[in-house]
Amino acid sequence: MRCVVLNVENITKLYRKQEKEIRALDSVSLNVNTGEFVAVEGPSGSGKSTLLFTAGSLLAPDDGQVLIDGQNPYALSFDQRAKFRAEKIGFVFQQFHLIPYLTVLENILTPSILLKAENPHDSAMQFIERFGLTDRVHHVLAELSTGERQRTALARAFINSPSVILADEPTGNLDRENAEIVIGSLVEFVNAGGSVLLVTHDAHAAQYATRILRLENGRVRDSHQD
Amino acid sequence: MRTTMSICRILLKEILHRWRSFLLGVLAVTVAIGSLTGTVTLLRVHDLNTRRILTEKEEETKKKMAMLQDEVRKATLKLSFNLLILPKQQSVRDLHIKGYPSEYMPEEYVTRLANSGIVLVRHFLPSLQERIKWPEKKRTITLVGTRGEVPNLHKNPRAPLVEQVPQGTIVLGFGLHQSLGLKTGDKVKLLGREFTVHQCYDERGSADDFTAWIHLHEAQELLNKEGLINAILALECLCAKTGDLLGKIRSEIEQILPGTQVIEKGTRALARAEARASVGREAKAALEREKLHREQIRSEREAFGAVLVPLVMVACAVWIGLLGFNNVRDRRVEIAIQRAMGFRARQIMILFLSKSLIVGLLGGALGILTGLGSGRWLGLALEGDVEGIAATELATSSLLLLAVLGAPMLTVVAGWIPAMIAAQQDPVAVLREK
Repeated sequence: MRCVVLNVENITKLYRKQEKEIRALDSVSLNVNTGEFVAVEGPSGSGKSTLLFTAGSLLAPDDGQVLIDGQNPYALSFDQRAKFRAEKIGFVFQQFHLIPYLTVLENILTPSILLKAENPHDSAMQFIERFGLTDRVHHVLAELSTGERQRTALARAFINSPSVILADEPTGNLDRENAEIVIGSLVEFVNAGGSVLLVTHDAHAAQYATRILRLENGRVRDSHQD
Repeated sequence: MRTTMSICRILLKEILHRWRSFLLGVLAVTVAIGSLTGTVTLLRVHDLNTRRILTEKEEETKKKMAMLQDEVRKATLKLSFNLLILPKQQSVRDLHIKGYPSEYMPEEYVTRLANSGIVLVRHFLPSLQERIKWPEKKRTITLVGTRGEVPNLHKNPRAPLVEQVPQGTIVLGFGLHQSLGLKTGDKVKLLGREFTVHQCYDERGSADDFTAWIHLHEAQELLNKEGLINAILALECLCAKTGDLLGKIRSEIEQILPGTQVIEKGTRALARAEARASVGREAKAALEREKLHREQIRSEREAFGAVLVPLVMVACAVWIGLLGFNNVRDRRVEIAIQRAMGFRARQIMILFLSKSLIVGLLGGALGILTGLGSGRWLGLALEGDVEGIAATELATSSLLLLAVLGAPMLTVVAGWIPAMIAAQQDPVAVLREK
């Protein structure tokens, strides 16, 4: 039975710039169930990243609510919300955002500091093997290719076994081969019972999604399912 | 090898990654603590050296004083002193009140003494003294009749200490010749007899200024005291090396002249004590001068340090703060992604403040070492010899406490605002920029 992992309900997010008010998200609702891969498409400035940050408990909505595994993260204190994020959410960004002075292994293991996971080293080594990074274990960011960096970022997002992966243009900087590996990994994660919310321009990446939402001017225009 | 991630590991890796900025931070703390420790050490070197110098000087002064006192003692021992031989019935109290003796004894006593073979006295000066009215000049004066020194016939002859007054002449004290307008060679009448002024004395600031000296025999005639005197001044009485000299002379004189008494004119002990006290005072004054000089140097250095150290401390604190701000700016994305992963604000603060703490501890330790070294070196340059001062005397517990607590406190305080900014940073704003 499929459960709702991420429930975004009628959220509105406003940005105020000088006197002007920009409605980045306008009454957006969406659900992501277990084993579901949802892609959000849309032009630049349509509110995709805002949706991702709001869903990821990093940016509180002005209106509406977000539930992850049935819990509203914005009702929690800052510290509790941080812990909640560490447990439930994995982030993947277009720019990878790896810590430059840590090795591949250390970058992957960093989120494990926050949770007292058992044998994080073994899990990390499994991801390293799975993502073809075995000979890069002790290499730092500067010594990695773009694909290797994104695979490392992906492994880092998976290490705490989150309920949902929020991915912001993860294939935007990658060649086709590496993009395939990244998308393939996300699909594998979904197949294993995880959930993915992917924000992308890349139609090829979006075609792996079980459901695609189109966002325009902060509103969901249409939604289609495979 | 199994890798376990921790805040500490991230911290150390970051320090190694940004080692230049870390070293600059350590350098700033080293300079700050070094300047403080250096100043304190320099003052301590000064204090220890002052103590040493003063102790040495005190010892030296003590030795010198002992030597001087011994010399003074020897000198005063060798010094001759004078005795006054008076008629036995003469009250010493009266003598001091009136200023001259009022009892008489035969002039023959002086001859008896000179012929007695007494060995401790070299000269005898018989005198007849009386306070009289000088009718011709309407003055009250002390008239002294003296016949000059009678040498001890049993001692080697020596030049007389006092010139005798020739008969028919008069010697006038300063107050008399000045007020009467008399000069050497003038004729003057005294009690009806004419005298030629033989000598006019310079001012002595004593009763001598109003005294007139004439020959003893003329004085005896004028005062109707033929064959009488009222004092014999025993001059150049030689000190024996040990024992009660005065007692010896007294008993010797009293044996020769049973109807007399002997008193000391001026106290030898007093002179000795004064000489000793004077030596002591001079030594003490020299010590005080040295102490004052050292205190002056210290306060100059202290004043210099009081300006320099706070300036360096503030500059270093600002420098550490700027390094902190720079570090936060460099790590904005790193902090944002850590916050997105679930790092709490407190953990971000710990990451930054721990780095400040390490900078402080390391800088403090190096600062203490460089401060001790430079303070000692500077002390050597300014003070000369500081070889006797052990390093343990300089590395006091308060200095070590300063390194352990003061330096980390400085860096944590200086790094607090940057750490706060890092912890409060909005991850979304940074991640959206990228």
